[in-house]
Amino acid sequence: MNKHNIAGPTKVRWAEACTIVLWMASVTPSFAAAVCNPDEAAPGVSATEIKLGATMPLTGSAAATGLGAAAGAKAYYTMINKAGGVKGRQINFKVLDDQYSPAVAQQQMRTLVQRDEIFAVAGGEGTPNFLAVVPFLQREKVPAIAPYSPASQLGTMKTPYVFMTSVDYITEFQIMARYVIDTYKPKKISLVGVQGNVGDDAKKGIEQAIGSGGTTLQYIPEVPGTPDFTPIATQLRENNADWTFLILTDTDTGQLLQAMHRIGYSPRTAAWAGMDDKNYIKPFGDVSQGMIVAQETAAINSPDPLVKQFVEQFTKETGRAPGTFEELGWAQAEITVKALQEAKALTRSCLMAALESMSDFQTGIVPPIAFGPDRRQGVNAIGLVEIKGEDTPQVTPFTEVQSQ
Amino acid sequence: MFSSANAIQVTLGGLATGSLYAVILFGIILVFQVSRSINFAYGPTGMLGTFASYALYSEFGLPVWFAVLIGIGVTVLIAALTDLLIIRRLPPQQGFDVVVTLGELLFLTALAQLVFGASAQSYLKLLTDVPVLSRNIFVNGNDVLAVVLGVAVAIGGYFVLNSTSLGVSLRAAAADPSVAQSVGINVRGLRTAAWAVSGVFVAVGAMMFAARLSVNAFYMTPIVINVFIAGMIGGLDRYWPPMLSAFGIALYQSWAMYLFGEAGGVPALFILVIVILAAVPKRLLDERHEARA
Repeated sequence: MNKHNIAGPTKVRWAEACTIVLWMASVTPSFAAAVCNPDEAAPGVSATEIKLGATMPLTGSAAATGLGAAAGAKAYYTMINKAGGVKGRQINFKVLDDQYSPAVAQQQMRTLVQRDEIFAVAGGEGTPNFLAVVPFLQREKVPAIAPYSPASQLGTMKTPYVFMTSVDYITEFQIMARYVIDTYKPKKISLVGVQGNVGDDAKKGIEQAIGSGGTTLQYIPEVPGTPDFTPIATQLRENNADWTFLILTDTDTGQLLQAMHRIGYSPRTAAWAGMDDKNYIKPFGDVSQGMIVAQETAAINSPDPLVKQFVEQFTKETGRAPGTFEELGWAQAEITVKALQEAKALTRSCLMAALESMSDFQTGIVPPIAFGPDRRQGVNAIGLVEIKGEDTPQVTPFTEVQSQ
Repeated sequence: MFSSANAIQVTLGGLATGSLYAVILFGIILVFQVSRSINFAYGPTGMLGTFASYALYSEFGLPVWFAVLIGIGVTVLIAALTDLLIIRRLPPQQGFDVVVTLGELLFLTALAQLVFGASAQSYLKLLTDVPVLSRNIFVNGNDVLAVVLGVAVAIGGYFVLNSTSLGVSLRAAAADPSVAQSVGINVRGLRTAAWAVSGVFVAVGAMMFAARLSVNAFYMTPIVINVFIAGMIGGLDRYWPPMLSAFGIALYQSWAMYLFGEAGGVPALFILVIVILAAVPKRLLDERHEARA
């Protein structure tokens, strides 16, 4: 495994706050291990095809992430279909645009489940948009496989139908902050995070890393899309922290760093996994040198044979080179197909049972995946990289972390 | 720690932002005063010109000055075509312009995403890397240029609209098109020209903002929302109130973000709007005849 990353923080507004409250009230508190029932009705499965679906941001400020993930997944399913599909059936993968909006995601997921009658949710990208549909998926008992939504509310048996393959932001920022504190011993840390659960989770992670140590933390919530970052840059300069941690959209991250640079404040920086991507480094690399970035997926140029195989096959299917989010989508699809292949029958309960029995599944892109009857966090490791020039060499290898 | 240097820094940043708001707002005022139309596609129009200039110098290697000129030209063309092909053909009822330009906004945004991709791109520096002051207070050339442009457009625009024959023709065409036509003013041509000229202002504003932020298909949306709010507060059929509002809301929002955090900026702005609408005597609002604005 080597480096690379994923998706975007988000817009957390009143609609999402309400969604989270409803979500907390509606999730199932307990769940017995899945028992495969081959005779139950199987929506979305016919003699010739298996319908899968996901919602992602395909338009709007976070579109780059969703478009990449969708392209990666579609390329993988195309390859599988050319090879005969799964259990003699073609994969019919449908992606609907949720615009990164919880409200739109709810509508689109209802369309996928109730009108299109998908068999399972395969992948997905974005935190608030996916969190918004979790209560519905729980009620409808639709399995969701490997969505990229690193929220601390997911990955436990409180949401048994959701199988996570990304580490939540609390853990991600705890690991990153611990590395910074141990290595650089900063007296002050600032954090700028998307207002709501994304920023709050990152704050909790840093606080856990600080523990009873003497490092102080300044937290500034942010709402995406501000036309002027000077006030927030001035606030940061006023605090004069040694390190600034960031969990914002890639555009806002770059724009804030530019504003900080313009007013003469250039602390060391650390950011969530989305900044380890060529689409960020190309426009904003000049103000991001030395940035420590969480690493959740292998580097595109990794020597790992599985990653090389991915790059080769993706390029063959699409005629272009992949990026980080294409890599993510490819891995999500690969995990989904593996579960379908391993299912004793194409019913949702059998798919759940197959996922629960998945152990040490190697994609080469994300760390080895293992679920269980009471385990929904399939991956629990991250690495760290540093932006140097246009490259992102690894500074710490993927390390297994303890569940919070 | 709060310091006078930080206070000045925030104020100067807000002033530069407000100046660019004023540049963009002038185009909106021009269009509204001559044709009574609201162009919600105004922001994406500037975005497309900016993106076009970016593509021309970065992908096709054209000289920067030439790429910028073509980018402005693209914006002018889109603005003029909006009037020629869409606005002119609408029935006179109020509201159609709003609906069709909202549709155009969505179309242009989707077009930009399709042609240029969804990722943000770093635009020309446009003096952002030229320090003017750089001790405790940092001011760069782009800030100075923004303020100079904002003040020049505000004063120059007032002069043109109120003290030239062109301004008289514009106001005559807006007040009573048929009378203006009867005295020899080419009202339709004048309106299209006003739309085209508005493109210059949004293109310049969009390019200046792109230098401070970056360019993608969506970056002009929050900017133009703030500009329309300034227009609404001041009244689009007036001149100095909306122009001063452009400066005022940028300064106000900068301070709100500085004092209450970045997440406080948007709520603070809408609180201001509510307070103004509640506090300003209804008589003044009614006199504007512009509830739709």
